[in-house]
Amino acid sequence: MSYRRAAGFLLAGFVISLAGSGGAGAEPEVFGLKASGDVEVGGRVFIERPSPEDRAKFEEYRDLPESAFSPYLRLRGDSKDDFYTVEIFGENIGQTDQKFQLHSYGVGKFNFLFLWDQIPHIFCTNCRTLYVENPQATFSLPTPRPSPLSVWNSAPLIDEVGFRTDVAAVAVGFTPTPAWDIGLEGSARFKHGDRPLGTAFGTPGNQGAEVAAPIEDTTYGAHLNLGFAGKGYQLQFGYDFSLYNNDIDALRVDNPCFGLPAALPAGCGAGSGNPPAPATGQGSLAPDNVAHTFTLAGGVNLPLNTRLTSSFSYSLRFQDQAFLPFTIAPAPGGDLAALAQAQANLPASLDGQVNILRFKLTATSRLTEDLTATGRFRVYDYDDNSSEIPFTAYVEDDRQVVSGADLPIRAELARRYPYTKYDAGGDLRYQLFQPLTLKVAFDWEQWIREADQVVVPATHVEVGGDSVVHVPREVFKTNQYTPKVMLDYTPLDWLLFRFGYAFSTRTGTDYLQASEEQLALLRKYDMADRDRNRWDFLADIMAMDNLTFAATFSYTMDDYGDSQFGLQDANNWAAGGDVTWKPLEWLSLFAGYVHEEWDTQSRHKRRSGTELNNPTFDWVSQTDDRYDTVRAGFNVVIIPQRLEGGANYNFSIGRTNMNASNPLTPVGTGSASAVAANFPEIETTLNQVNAFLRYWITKNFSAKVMYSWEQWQQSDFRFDGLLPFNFPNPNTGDTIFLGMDPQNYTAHWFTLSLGYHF
Amino acid sequence: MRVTRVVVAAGALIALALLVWPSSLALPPSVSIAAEPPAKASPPEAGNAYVGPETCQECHEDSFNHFAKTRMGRLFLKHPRDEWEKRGCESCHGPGKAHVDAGGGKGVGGIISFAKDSPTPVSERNAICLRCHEGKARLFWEGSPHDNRGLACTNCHLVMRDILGPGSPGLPRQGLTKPDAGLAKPTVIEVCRQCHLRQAAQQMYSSHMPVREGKMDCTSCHNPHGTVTEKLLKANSLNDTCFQCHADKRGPFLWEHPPVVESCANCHSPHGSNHENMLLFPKPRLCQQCHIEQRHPTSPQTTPTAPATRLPGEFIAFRACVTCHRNIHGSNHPSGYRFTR
Repeated sequence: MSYRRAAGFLLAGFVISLAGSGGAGAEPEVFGLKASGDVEVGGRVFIERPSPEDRAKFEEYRDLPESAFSPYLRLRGDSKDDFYTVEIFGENIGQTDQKFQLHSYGVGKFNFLFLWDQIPHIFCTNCRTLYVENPQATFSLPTPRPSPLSVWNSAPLIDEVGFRTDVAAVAVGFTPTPAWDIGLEGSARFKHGDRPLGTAFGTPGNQGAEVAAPIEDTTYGAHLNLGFAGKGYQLQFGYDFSLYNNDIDALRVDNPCFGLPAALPAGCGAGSGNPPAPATGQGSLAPDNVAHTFTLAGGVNLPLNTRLTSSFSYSLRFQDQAFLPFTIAPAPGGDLAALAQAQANLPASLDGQVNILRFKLTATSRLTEDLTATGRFRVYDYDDNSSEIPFTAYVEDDRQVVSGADLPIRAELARRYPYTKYDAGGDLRYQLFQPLTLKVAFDWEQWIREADQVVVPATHVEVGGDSVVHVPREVFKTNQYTPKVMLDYTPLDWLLFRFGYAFSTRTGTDYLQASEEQLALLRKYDMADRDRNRWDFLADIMAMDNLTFAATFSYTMDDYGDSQFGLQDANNWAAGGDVTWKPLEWLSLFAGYVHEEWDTQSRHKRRSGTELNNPTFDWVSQTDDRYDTVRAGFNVVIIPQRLEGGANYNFSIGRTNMNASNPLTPVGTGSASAVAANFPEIETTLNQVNAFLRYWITKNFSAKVMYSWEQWQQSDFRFDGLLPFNFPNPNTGDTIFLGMDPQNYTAHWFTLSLGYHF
Repeated sequence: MRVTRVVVAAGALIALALLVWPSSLALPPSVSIAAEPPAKASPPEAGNAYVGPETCQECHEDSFNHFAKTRMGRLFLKHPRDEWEKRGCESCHGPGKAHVDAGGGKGVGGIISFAKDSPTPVSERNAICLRCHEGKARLFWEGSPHDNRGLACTNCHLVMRDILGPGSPGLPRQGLTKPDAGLAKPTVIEVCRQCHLRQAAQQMYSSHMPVREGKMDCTSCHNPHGTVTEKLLKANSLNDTCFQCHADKRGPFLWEHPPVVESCANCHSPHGSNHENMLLFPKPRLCQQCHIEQRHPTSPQTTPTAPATRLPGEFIAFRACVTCHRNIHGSNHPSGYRFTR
């Protein structure tokens, strides 16, 4: 790797120039600047590491090759008058996840920052596919298709499904006078690689295929900030620009279960052969878009220890990418004339435009030494002015034209979802007596969503369904009221106990249906009536300068009492503690533990064909997550000024249960599909140990050895043993997966490095 | 082979250093490194309650010398821009004449201390910092959640020394570093962990953002000094915060998914979870909380014929619902009504 050698030579040259800049004990100088810094170079040696096929989770967001690299670099130069400074930071130099920062400033005058950061993200290293991608974003199969489908299980391995985000950013700030502040920032995020993405071919929901879809996009950003600070007031103006550019507009994937002209591949369900099964499907990827945001903000200090701040912002978002055609299938099933008419009526693009207005006003007044009052008001208005395009037909999965009486109400118009959100609240904080402070607060939040009523044609109305629907969303207005109380108890300077309780109730206007297909008694949790109780506790103990302890507890109970179907209960609680202790000058210890649980209960109903409201087809799901996280470690000076060491241990376990049951035994047509039962528990465990010793060879040189051990294990029935084709599993049908099956791993390695510090 | 290269390179570096530095065999530095004293600042006005930084240095030399190495110290002690900054130490700690005349001591003579046990109320200590730092990211500090909870600036920031700068004790640790943030701990997450234990623990969950890998930190999304948005998010809304990195989800799309338009947190847990893509709950249960139309979305997806093995069906395995409904955040395809195109 030539760039690694170049980096090594540069570092060596820097060291040599430092050597030549002065004699023993002299402050090093480089190019007339006082130089200081830390340089570490070294390498990594594995005792045990995951195989290339099993490293996906091990290197999910990092690069850990067995090679030389520089873990850390910091070089700094200060002008002799200490006015100017230039600093270079580097981490993991030579690796895929390397990062650099260049920072330069003149104190009180200007600031310059450049950042380059490489962020890998690996999804899968044991995926397989028979697809050939040529050209980019077109995944082809031979005709006739590979048969039987089980041959997919011996397809070639894909080396790596993942992408890397490279971030480049520049920021410049000027302070021409202490009152003025000017800031300019520019950034670009380059994302390239691939990710798992599926394409559906069956109608409805009985056949699909996954590919490693390419990613090639860039997000450009710019920010301008002008600030002025007068006596007792500040004004800021800001402009933000963001452009998202996707080099790939569409994804084309051949259908593995395309039979013509030969027979369907063995393993394809009979339904997949229903002509006209599409030979190829084409779907859209994220369209290019741009956003502009203008912000004016300010604050003023008023008499009576009062401060008023306000911010007004207006954003515009645009998206005008040309539409793809309804289908690339030459002859899908259904009314082709209706399709042709729909295609002719379709505009070239969405002409998407969203206008967002945001305003906030806050006033805080320290009325007396013991009493502080705060009031705030905020409005967020999301106004989607994009075209509402009517549709008379569309094509489902490149297979079947849906039109006429079969066209759902919600598919007849591509509606927009504007809303306005208001927040207001206030709180009073009063020190009752020395160790006890009471805070009472009240918050109000209102959502207003657009509401139009649409009459459902008789041909669309289902048995027991509504003849009028409410679009685009089910609830026009919700109000949430939240009174809160909090007590701070500080019996001693170093001891703080904080108790908090909040009760929140959300109610809305009538809940109406937004789709004739939807179960009328369903209540979607983001709009449903809800009562919430929340308790919080914090203990902060700083008995001595060398001993700190914090403990927290929180419990939130959400009750959707009026929801006969949908989410009915959601509870979350967490408790934990963390201690840092330095009992001796040469020894410091830390430890922490957190336990967290999530529990939800929802009620559902299996609905299909003639069984749309069968009471025995109800089922209840109870899903819970439990987490335990532990950390512990120490740092020790073994021989003063010569040998130091430390170690840390991290442990995390997460368990998920997806349980389900039927209140009544399902009876009726298709009852087998209404039977609910528990799934196996999902468990994920992570263990990490790092231990290091650093030996100071000389005043400036040190040698460090670090041992790392890491183990990750997952038991997840959704992934374990997943193959591209999973027949004879009667549930998977003929969907072809990539076969992503994250593997457990254990890894031991040493990192050896030499450091030069000056 | 690779191990050999590492050892050879290390040996060459040691040899080079020993060759060019005759004093290299001297003892390594002590943990607390005494910095060089700075150039002298201008003396205070005669008859003033201020004594000048030189006087402070006589008793507080160690602190003074460390402070002089910080960016703020260099500004105040060597390049002050106005009369206020010329006061040096006393611009923050208040006039020192009474303190000096009384012989010194913690809090004596009305000197303002920023230690945790300082008798000066937190609001007064913070007001001193806000005198200069009230704009930009701190514009909305007053009335913000941290202000309302009585948090002092010095709970998170260390003003008197730069723990990552030249002469700093110990060595830098890997992870995201914030130039000149003056943090009290080497990394942002260690600062926030002092109170936010749960969120700090969530970075260790299986599905997480690259915080523990050092690619992000709490301030990538939050501004702890106060913002216009709930939860101290930096942008105008929760979604705008996410769009900083995930602008592909911004749209607008031809076919919108309403809960996505309103809040990413309707489905995602931003700090970490046990479910892929940091979802709040596993699929398909998450989706089934809102979808009880007809056919496969309404089924519990359990297999009566194989309850013991629970082989994952296509509606459960891997990406479950979004295997087919892949443009779940919104589709710009004319046939994308059900987000499958």
